[in-house]
Amino acid sequence: MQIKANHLTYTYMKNTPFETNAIDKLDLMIPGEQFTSIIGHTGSGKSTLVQHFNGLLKPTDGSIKIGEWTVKSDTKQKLLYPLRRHVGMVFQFPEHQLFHETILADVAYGPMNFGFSKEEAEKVAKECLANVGIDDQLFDRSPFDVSGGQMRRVAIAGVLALDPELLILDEPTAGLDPEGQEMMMKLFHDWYEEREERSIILVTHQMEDAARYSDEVIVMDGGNVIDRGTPRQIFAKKAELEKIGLTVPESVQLLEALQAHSESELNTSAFTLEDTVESILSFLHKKGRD
Amino acid sequence: MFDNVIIGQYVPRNSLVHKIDPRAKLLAILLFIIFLFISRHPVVLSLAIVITGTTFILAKIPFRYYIKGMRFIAILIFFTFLLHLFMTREGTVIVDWPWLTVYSGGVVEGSLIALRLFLLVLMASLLTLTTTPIDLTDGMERLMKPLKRIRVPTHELALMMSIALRFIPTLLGETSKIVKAQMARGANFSEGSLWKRLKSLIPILIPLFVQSFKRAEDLAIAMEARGYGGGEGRTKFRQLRWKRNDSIAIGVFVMFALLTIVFGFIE
Ligand SMILES: Nc1ncnc2c1ncn2[C@@H]1O[C@H](COP(=O)(O)OP(=O)(O)O)[C@@H](O)[C@H]1O
Ligand SMILES: [Mg+2]
Repeated sequence: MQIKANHLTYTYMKNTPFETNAIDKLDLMIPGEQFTSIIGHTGSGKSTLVQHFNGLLKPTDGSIKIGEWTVKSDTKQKLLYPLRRHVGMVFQFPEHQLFHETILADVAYGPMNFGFSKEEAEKVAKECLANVGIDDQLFDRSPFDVSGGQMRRVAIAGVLALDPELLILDEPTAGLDPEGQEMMMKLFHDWYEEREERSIILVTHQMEDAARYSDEVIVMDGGNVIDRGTPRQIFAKKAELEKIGLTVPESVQLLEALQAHSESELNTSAFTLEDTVESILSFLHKKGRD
Repeated sequence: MFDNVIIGQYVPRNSLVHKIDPRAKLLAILLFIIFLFISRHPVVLSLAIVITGTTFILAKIPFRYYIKGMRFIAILIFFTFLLHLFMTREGTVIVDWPWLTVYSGGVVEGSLIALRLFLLVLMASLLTLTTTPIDLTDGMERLMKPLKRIRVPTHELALMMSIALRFIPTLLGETSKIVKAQMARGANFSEGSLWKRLKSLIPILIPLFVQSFKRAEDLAIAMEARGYGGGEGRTKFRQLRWKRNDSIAIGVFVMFALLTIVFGFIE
């Protein structure tokens, strides 16, 4: 689903002493059917921006177009319900949204809100729970009775159960151990690959994830987009990123350090383990020849 | 979503009112409220208006912000006014329709109660708007100190209040986040029958309760881990100091109280 923001402005607590301009006259186009990452320092307006993508926030000024829906400051809430069926959203610490007596009922809550019958909703819920790796023995347990990692997967299943076209992820792996983070990201990537028309917009602090999975990276600072490009283009600008409080992926840091030490050219835009090893090997190879 | 809540909100400003000792503010407001409701003499009421207005201006709280937060209270005050207007049966008849009679006493009583409530709310909210929660509870604890003799747990009461005040914004933020998360899953809070709307609140209230309990537990553990052991023998890092301005402020309100009594006798 394509997104187009036109002079989008959002002000928190307008007309109070605490007024903050979180998004400032932002123009942006994000093509559909791609994996996009948004990076930026804390407070740069990432969360505020993505909450416009499913109509949770309405622009204070300007407009935003998501697929065929246009949202302005005076758009009626009622018109936004169908939009939310097509745009799913996973918040930071999504397990905080669990409330039902059983895991199955919690996941079925979304589809039932959109008019599915109980049987249909539970059928969808079961599929989604299987997809995120929740065993069917747990379906009738309380969502508060399972481990933290499992709670998060149940909550994510609850969002995937809406079968959205566009999935927005706002720091979905925060607070997980590295292994859990990797599993979670793989889960999202598999979901994305499953069908042609699906898109993902990922807000993240993990430069490694942004580099590894995205087709395009968008850099935000001070409520506006300051740069965008492929991971290769963006993470070649170490100095610019550091100026706004960001880093480059660890693999790039390693290769750049190696390059600086050995004073020889090597390919520094490697974002996976394999590519990094490859780059080091070809460096050693070249060194051996000299 | 909760952009207009000003209950318990503190607005940092560098103003005379902000700098007054919390004990002085609490005492002054207590005096003001008691004596405001004792006298109905025009001079006393005008004086109350002048005092409130001056305090408000000195506090440098933006008027627009204040008015927005007062909308709900204004409705309540208006209803109280109407109630008194129609219920009072004194004085001469002003309006005499078949289904409605308004007496002149009603207008007087209604206006009087509305004015008093308005001044009271204004003063009381100025207290939290200009005093940090920590100062407020410190002040309360100090003022309640004599009650400790009769075994009132003053320190614990003050601590409870400061925790409650501290977590109002957190709770609001959390509510807003959960509301958004459920709306993203298609929750609809503004359509359907009353029963349906009430039921739609369950997905918000349960996570809120679960998290509040969890947070209370975390807070208790964190406090114990840092050696909290109640108020016994505890010293304060931030000491309250009584200054000349505090005496002046109290002086103004004591004068107000005295005048009220004097005019009470003249009446
Ligand atoms: N609920 C809110 N009320 C007031 N200000 C907010 C709120 N949420 C965010 N802000 C402010 O808006 C700005 C952008 O915040 P946010 O979109 O959360 O940034 P990010 O997700 O990039 O960390 C920040 O300055 C933040 O303080
Ligand atoms: Mg954020």
